[in-house]
Amino acid sequence: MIYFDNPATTFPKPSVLGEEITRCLKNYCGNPGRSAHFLSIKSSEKIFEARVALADMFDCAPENVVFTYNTTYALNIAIKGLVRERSHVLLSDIEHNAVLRPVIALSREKSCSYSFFNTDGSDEDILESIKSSITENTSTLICTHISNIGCRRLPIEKIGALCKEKGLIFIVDGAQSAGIHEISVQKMKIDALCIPAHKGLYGPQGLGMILFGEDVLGRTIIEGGTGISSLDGEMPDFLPERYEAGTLSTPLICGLTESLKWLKSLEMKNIRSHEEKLYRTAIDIMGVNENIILYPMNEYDGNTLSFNVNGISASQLGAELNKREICVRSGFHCAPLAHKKINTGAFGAVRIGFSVFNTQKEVFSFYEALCDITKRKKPIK
Amino acid sequence: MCVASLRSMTYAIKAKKALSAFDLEGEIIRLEPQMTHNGCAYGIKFDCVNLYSVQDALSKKHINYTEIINL
Repeated sequence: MIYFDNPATTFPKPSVLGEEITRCLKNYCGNPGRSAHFLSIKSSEKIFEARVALADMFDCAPENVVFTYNTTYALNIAIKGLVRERSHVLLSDIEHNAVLRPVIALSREKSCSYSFFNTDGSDEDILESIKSSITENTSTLICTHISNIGCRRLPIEKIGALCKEKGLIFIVDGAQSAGIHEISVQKMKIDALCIPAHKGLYGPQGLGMILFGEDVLGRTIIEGGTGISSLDGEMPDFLPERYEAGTLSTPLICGLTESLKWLKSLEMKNIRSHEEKLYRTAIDIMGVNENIILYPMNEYDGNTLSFNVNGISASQLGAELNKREICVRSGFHCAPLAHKKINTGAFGAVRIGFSVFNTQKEVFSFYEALCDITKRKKPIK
Repeated sequence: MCVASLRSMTYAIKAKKALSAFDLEGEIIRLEPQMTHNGCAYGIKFDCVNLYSVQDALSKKHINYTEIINL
């Protein structure tokens, strides 16, 4: 089996993840923050350990780490909680539906307006596009750090500085970059960084996080029990409990802590270098085949590549690769804007992405399979 | 014994770790309803002889407590 669907979710996971989830379920899975008995406190302490590990990695305070179900929930909480009613929201033109759809919903429910800035060209070109798109009514800028269909990386440190200067709330979708690229919530002036556990952090599915900057507190979109201030009808006015209604997933959170320790031992720069090497190899060998159309949004430093093959639809190709036990993802990748950008908005593409567990040999085997399929397949009429 | 009342379990754990960093002992407890203004809350119990050291430790780690209660 060759697994290249890592931008969707990394697989396999480090063994420490499953081991810790099992250990938690067997030994210390009390309800965190709800009681003062030893099992509940043990769960709470282990969850705090995860907050500290994430705070260290993304440079924020441990109590500013909020756990959610996934990045989409995190983005919904951040966007719907922080965007001012009747204000203007600025988005990049390569956003995932996890950003686009909540913003469209906001435009209906809270009378907000939105527009897109252009991500073509240099960092300076992008900043210019942002500056020219900001209106008097702009309250918030939301953008991805790295596109999920190519490796277009936005200059979030510069964008953050600009947002600070203009007094805008800055929300970042770090789904594809967390664990692969350094992100500092403080240095990059991010108000809310939304990330998944199950991609570049090699944690479990069903867990996401918002890492808030200092003094950021918005409306809530989910209310319920928090284990504190139970006689008060309002949600707490402080983090993390304001956004953590209901019982957290202690096993998944504690598993993530172990994945983070494992990740730290490998060092982010080594992971990135390994994945970039595979990415360049893929571009080099696929690039010489005239039947293959590559859509590299970045030629050198990436780990995710979208492509098509002449005469075969993306879904057909995905199915053929699946028969050979090669896992890729075809279609639109929930990113219609980005597909429009690379001119695949009408038919989609096949996407491959690498993890620390992939090898050069797998890239070559994948290419051989691709050649085999293109040889046998008749063109679509 | 004294108790520093804190916003939530998250802050209680943070406070306990802060005290440990200064070699001070603390125990997380659930506060009695009469000690709180609006229901469930947590605190950290410590020996009152360490009151000033505890206040200093919490202050150095930027941990706000609601009040110190003498049990």
